[in-house]
Amino acid sequence: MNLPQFLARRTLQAVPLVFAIIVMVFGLVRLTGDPAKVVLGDNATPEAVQELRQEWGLDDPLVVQFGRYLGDVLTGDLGTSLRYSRPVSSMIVERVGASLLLVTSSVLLSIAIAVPLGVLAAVRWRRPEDVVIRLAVVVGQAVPRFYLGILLLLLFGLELRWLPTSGYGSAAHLVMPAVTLATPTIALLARLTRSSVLEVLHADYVRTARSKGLRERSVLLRHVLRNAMMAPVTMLAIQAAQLVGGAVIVEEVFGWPGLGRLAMTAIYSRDFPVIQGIVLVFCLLVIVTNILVDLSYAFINPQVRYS
Amino acid sequence: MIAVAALQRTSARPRSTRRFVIRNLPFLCASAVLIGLLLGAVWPTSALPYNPLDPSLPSRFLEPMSHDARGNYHLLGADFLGRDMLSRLLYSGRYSLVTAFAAALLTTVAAVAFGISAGYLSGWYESLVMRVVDALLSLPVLLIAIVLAAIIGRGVFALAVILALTGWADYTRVIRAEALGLRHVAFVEASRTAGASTARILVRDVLPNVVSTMSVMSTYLIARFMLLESSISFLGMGVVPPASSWGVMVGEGKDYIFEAPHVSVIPGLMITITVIAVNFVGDGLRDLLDPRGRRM
Amino acid sequence: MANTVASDRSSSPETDRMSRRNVLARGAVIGLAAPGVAILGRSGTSARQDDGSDQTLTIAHNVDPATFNPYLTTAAAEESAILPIVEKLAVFDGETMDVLPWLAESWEYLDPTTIQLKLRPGVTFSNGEPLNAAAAKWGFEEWMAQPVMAQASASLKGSTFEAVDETTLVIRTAKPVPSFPTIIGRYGYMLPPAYYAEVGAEGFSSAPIGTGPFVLDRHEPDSQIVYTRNPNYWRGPHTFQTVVFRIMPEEVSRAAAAETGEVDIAYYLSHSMVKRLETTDNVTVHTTPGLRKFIAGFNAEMEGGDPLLDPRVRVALNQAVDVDGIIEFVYEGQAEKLNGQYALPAEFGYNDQVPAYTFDPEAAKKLIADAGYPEGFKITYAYTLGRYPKDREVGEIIATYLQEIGLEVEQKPLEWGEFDSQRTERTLGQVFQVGLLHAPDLEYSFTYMAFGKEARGAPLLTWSEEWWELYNQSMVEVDPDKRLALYHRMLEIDHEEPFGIYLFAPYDYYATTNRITGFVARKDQFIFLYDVGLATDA
Repeated sequence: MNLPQFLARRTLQAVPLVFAIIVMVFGLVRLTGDPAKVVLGDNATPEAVQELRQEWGLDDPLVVQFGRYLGDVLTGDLGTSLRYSRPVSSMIVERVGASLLLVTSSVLLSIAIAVPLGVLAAVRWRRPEDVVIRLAVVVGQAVPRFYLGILLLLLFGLELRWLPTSGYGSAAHLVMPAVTLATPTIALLARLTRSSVLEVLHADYVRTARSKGLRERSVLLRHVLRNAMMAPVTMLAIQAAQLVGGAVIVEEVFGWPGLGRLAMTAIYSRDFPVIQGIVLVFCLLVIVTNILVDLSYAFINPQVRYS
Repeated sequence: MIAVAALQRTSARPRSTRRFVIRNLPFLCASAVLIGLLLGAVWPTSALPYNPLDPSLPSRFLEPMSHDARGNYHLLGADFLGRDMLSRLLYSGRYSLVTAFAAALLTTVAAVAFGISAGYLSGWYESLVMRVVDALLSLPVLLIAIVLAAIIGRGVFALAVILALTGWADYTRVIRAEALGLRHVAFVEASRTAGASTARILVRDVLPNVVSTMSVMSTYLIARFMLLESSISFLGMGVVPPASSWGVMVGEGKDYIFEAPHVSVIPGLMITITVIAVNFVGDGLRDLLDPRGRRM
Repeated sequence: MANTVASDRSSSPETDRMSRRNVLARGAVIGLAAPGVAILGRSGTSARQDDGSDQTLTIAHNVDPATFNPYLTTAAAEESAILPIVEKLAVFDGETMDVLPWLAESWEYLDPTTIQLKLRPGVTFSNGEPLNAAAAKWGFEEWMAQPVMAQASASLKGSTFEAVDETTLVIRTAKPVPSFPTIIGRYGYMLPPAYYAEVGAEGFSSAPIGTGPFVLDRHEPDSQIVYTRNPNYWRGPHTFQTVVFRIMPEEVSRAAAAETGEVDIAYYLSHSMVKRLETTDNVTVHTTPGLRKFIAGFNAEMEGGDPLLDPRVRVALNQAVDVDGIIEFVYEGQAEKLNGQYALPAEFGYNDQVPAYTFDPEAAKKLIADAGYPEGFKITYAYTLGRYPKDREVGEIIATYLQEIGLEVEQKPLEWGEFDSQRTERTLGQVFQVGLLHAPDLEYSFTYMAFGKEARGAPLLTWSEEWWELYNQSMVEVDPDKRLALYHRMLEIDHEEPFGIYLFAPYDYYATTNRITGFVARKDQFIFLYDVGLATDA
């Protein structure tokens, strides 16, 4: 199967998934009471509420409402924010960049740190390096992101004053949020890399390669790493959902103006169209990431065919 | 697959107690820490050093290892209402641990029920369960949990249900994979030929064979739920005072990070220590039950 | 955020190139890997240091405004972000709270129900529209038509407005409105009618135009608001070319940003947060007794038979709370106590004959027993989370005090959005803690309460017939002395039959870097940049 065919198939496979998610998101909002009342607030008369209910079709059967919602979503209309009275889609577009920047940097950071650490630990199996890395991994997986964020803020923001404590706009602003978001992922990824490298190191083809007199470094790079990376990459796909969700808390701690902050503001003010929209976008991001990961298998290991 | 694991379980049994202890030192230490934490959690409120709910404004932000105006000693200092931090930690730990354990229990029941049935039975039922699992797996867990907390409420039980809802999917997938392998194993086939009902096969034949996986998965779940609960609480969507949890304590304490870092740093440390302990216990269980370490 | 003033440049090749670059940048964002480059590339505009000049004033603000339309919000924090752009007819002096002329030159009562307002001549909006009496007339009418303003404009209800000439507006009110100057000092925002008609209330929300010293350059939600100088400002161009409001909801971050010099002014800090700043070189801490009065209000709409309907119970709750203790230990003395009344000594109407309640849990228990509840009763106590500094801890403390006198307290800590909507839906419960910022004339505090009964607005309420009688008199009383006497009597009633647990007004704190002059810590918590300039020796 070639690349376009593969993409088409994966996208088709994602359709029922997206549909299921839209159903869930739609159901989520039905749990929350009458949006018309929420919008009109204080001084609304029952007549005004009724009028708005009619205008928004809230009296129609649920199936009809869902059909309408589905139509809107498919045409990119995510509704209007109750708090800001603006289209949700444009509010999301404004901030998706900041979130993507944060999540992407964290993913890259995770790979850049975790893979060398994992390989080092495996190569120096049961030596001091391995022990230290494994300990770090244990701690890294156990520290809640918000707590790590606060500790970093305290140390680098307030005591040493090396980095700005909050905000957005320069590379310095990105450092602490990205590190905070990446840390648990780094730990998990390093641990996985270590164990799969260990497994591959003892595989027959590596022994063969060694016995052919190849230098250790090229054995590592050419044979071990390539084969060992499958499991970590798969885990990274699962972590995508974690990272996107974790961004909510990191953005809140560091005042990062991404979708997570918007989500929290919306949750606090019960701005349900916005919440709905963000959940939807986050889910799509996760799905896209999963497809990208599937694609990347082939780059890591050319023996893998799209199937 | 399971039969092999069970075989190896016997062969891996350590030859001497001493060797067992040395080999499993982290596991044993972590178990001890965890038992200590659980003891602290069930410790009666009346036997705590101080009443964790009793404010004493003059002791506000008392530093660790110091005496208050009345000459009472506070090992970990006092919080923003002058309440004894040690007593608060034990009191809050109760909520953190109970929430995580209750959620893990709920999740285990749900995941095992759906997992073994979906794995054993094929057809539309399996497809349905697995599609739901797939959809759930692509939801951003924390965000969904917060939204649910905002809608459902903030009691311990509500939180446990929310955690269970978000943690159920990948667990079910693992259990299903195990059960799938059992579909055509000899003793299951035998029961089927003998005319046993599906329910009976699931409970008598399939369930016992996923128990080792179950115990390991559940342990890791506790760790995951501890972290998730603390995040929800940190964002102000957790339990409501006078109830508290470590996540709530960090969230409250972050406002005083200038004046009194100990108020947020100590409970955060507790979360970290507990999660480390639980993870070590999980690793230990895995090694004991499945020495080849197939699973991550 | 269209920069309407500079829109004539949009056809130049330079801007074309710019927009193409923007498109490319956006494309890169979608391309996953490159957003770093695209966004970091813009960093030069956001931080003062990168600008390399003194021409930018950076302010750490706590709230991202949901609207720039002053007719749609009554939140001081949101209005502060509007004030650089839109101005009012009158302003309060930041320290004395006297009403001073601003866009209006003068106002005068021709008779008790006729007010003549003279506008400052020659003022124009930044889009060229003139500020004249017709614009002011339209402004009043538009403002009063907004449902959000029903309470604020209640006393002007039924007024007619007449533009007599270019600068003279005559207002005929239905009944005497002695508080007219306070109203225009608080709410008298002037907007350009033609532009407003063109873009609508919602359009104005994101693209405001005013007479102010700055125009809106762009609003990056939850990140920053950038204003640029209005070259034709009627008081002459402002010292600063650019003003940036950085949105930092966390108090810790605002304080830290002032400490590191990232911002010039850190808005709305509390006492504990500035301790470190006081010892920081290059930073000045400003403080003022605030006007935000904290009260644990009793819900006006309780079912019959509710214990709170008994005035003795309400007095008992006041005796149960050690307000002095909270001020001493939580605010370290940096708050002013409400002495047994919902008024501060500095306010017009304060009654110094009304004593503070004494903290006496035993007496409180006895009063509650006398009222028929020897076993105590169940009560809900709602408070906000992070809406005001220290709101959560104060809420927890007071709930604990109420528990100590034998009540069973259910705490309801709520985010502001939820708190507000429960207030609207009347599900907040019996007692709820708020900090209300009123204009410094008791009429505002009283109207707020009165409104609770009449129009389903605020939930505070007093119960006495006599009080209502006095209230109606005070609303139309033009003679200040007579009004004062009415207020005094009303506060006495409010002492005997309290409508809430009267708490305190905390001092407000602000921090500025030393290169800034002319900053005034205002009692009403607004940010006024009119006189902020650069220190000459900086």
